[in-house]
Amino acid sequence: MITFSVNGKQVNFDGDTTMPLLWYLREELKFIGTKFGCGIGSCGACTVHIGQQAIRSCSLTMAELDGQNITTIEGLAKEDEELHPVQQAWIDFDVPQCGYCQAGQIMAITNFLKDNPAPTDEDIDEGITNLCRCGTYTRMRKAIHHAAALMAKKGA
Amino acid sequence: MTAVQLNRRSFLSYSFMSGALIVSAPSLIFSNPLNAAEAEDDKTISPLIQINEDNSLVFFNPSPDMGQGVHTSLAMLFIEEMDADFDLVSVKSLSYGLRRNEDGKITWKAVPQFSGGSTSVPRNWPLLRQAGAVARQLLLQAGAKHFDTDISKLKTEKSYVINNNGKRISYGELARAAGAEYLKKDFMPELKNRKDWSVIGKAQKQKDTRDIVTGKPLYGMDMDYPGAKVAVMARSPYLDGYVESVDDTAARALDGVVDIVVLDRPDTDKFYTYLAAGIAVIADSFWIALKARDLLKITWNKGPHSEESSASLRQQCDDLLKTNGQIVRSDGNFDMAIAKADKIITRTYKLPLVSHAQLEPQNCIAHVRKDNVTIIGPMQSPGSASRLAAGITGLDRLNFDIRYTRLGGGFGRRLTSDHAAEAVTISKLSGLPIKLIWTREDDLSHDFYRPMGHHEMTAAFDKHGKMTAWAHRLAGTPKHHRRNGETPEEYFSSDLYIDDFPAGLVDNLKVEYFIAKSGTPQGSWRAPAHTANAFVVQSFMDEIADELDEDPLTLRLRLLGPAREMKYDQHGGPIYDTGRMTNVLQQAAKLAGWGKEIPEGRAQGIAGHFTFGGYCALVAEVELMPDNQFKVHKVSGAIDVGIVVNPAGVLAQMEGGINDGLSAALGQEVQIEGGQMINDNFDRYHMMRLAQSVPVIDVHIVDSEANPSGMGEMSLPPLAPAVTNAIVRAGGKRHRSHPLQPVKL
Ligand code: FES
Ligand code: FES
Repeated sequence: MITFSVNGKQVNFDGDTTMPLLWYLREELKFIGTKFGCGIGSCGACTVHIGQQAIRSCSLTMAELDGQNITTIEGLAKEDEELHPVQQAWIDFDVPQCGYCQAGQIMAITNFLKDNPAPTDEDIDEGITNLCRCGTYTRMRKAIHHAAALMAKKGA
Repeated sequence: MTAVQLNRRSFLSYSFMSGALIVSAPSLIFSNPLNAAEAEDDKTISPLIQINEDNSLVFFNPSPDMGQGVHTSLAMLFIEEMDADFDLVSVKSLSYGLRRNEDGKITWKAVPQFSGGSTSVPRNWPLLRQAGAVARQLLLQAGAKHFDTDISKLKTEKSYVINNNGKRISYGELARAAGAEYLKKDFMPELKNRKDWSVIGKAQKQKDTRDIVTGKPLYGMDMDYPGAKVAVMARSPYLDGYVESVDDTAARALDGVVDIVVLDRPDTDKFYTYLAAGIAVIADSFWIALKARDLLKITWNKGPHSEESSASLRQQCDDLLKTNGQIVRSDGNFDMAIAKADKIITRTYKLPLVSHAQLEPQNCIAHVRKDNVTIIGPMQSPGSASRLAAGITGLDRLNFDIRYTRLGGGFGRRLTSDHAAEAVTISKLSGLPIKLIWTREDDLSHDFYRPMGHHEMTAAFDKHGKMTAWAHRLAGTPKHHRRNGETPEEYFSSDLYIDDFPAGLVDNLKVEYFIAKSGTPQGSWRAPAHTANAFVVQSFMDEIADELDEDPLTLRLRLLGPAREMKYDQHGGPIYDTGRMTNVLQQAAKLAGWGKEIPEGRAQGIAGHFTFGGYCALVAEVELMPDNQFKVHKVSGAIDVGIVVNPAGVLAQMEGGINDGLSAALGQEVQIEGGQMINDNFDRYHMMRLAQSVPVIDVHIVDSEANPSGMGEMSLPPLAPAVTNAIVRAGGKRHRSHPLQPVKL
């Protein structure tokens, strides 16, 4: 039996431990905000937080989850609560186009900003490698800087 | 106010039901807008707007949103004329509806429901504004009764009817009464003058962003259906191959596997239903289905194209260009002009097959029942899904339950509904409701690729530098390959738009086409042939400028000549206005500081192109890096798409198209070996990431009085040549083929 938490709720799992976390989130728990894009850890559409790390959930199996705390896009801000500053920046800057990559982008970026509270463009180039076919990168970069500033203000 | 002529299609009906006024497009042709209570039951309602008593509004959008922003821009058209508060509007997809007309033919129940070719805004421009004006009229009539006054004493503003004594009442409060109103038999909606617009032309944020950033179920991939099992397919890896034999014992033995069915090869001489023969594994979950698929032991018949490769396709194109092809346009006397020319310039450019690679892999829910079909999924063309399903099941498609979701990218991939046809076939064979999911490998290796082709360009000049002749010879894989009802002689029209620049501007012109045979499916890829042809023509322009020792912008402006309207018979016509092209080139140059000083080590390149009614010019600022690499620091662009509905949407599409154009040119190339697509995931099919994207994009939006064109595709075609032209001007090499940074597998 593998025990871990998703968005603050404890779950017990005794199924196929070779299954990637992504499919457990999507099909079992119906946290469909975490997206399937490539299945090989390349696009980042499936990014979630595990503890203090951003992880591509298509490339992590259930066997590796015991004792972990997982947060998905649905758990980033609780229903009716204020959005995370990155989500808010995404709305303020009108970032998404098709939007399919954006939950993964936001999960990657919220984590990235923890380690890089005032990132340079070079930091962003290096730290954010998720794919966006719609080409929202230019807008994303602006919104990342904006979110970093928002978070700095809040923290102050 | 402008009076509009209503055509028979655009009549509307309306009624008050379940707490809301609903203005609908009718299922029957009325001679006049009618109170819907008279003529309809709720089943026939195709609502466009719902006005709730709490004054909130729901707009039902007829065009699937795939990131091009039509949920917002089309709502703006309706809301403007209705004079409602745009902040109170939420947007839902209009449920798909068909009806049978007087001739027994099936047609749209309300309005066309389709997204493609940048047509959503121009198609709905008159219709949705008229519909909004009808809604406003009903509210005004109800308001007149409420205030016991004449309509002429009333005005409307932001979802309120206001009396001339300043008293106001909300649309929501009037909704019930408005539903009981009758429009006069000869009522003609009048549209606002442009100066009175308060919604159109003002930047509006996308309506769906909050749901996107909080992970709400919006996409086909996120949909559930009662009792649906998950299907995963093992498709023939060989182009037009099929299953010779299969041992599915191990797969069937896996716990959770429900059924395994075989899909025959679709006819190879007709257009595709689904794309490939194969075996569908149906299971309780995706993961089980995928595991079971791996356990199938399949012997494939390699089909008729097992020798085909990227190299063989290129060879074929090279060989074809040495022969004579089909002359598809000939003006003046090209050969004589060449014989007399002072200078002749010839160059060849090569474009590879490219995949759509929309981020949401193909997927579709289908449930075939005895008498009906349900299809739920990401579709640009739900109509094609319904036609395919009718063909597969033999059922009448009039009442099919078809629901299109938000699309995790379209780019032309989901204009064809092969995913729906496949899901319907699997549901029919198994008798189960199924949710079909493609993996990324499935998606990249089974696609309607952007055609590949080799373009040989020739231009001739007299001793004064006047261009006297132009030839464009293209040998390539035709997009209209296997298209039903189209002969090979017509194939050229999807890959060469014969009225494109510089047709009509040069006396002697020859356009010649050669069909390269290939087993790869071909299709519409964002701005179809324009992506290839803009790269070719706009690169060639700079090579000519170089030969003539002329500034690239000056040359373009000189060839365009004085502003005039040219006939343009392809999509985006009927007019190509050289003046509008000149203007965007000049505006982009001005914005970029063309010819002025720019940071050390950088150079600028320019390109402009006319795509589906829109004019776009871009200036790219590029720096050379070691090892033939380069960095695009900035792109400045000017765009003229006529009247701008949503400036924020235009800006987003400029940015997206520019980055998408760069991504396509940099590393994308579908590679074929032994009749199979071999680079079938993102580790081998290279798409640009943030680090290579354009950090600064400046845009000038032209203020225009022309009717709006769409905006989903216009900014992409000029990007690649603007970049490669800049590379040359920075002292780098001339790129005459894509990808610019090829990936070794
Ligand atoms: S789906 Fe996990 S990285 Fe692409
Ligand atoms: S917004 Fe469409 S893939 Fe990023």
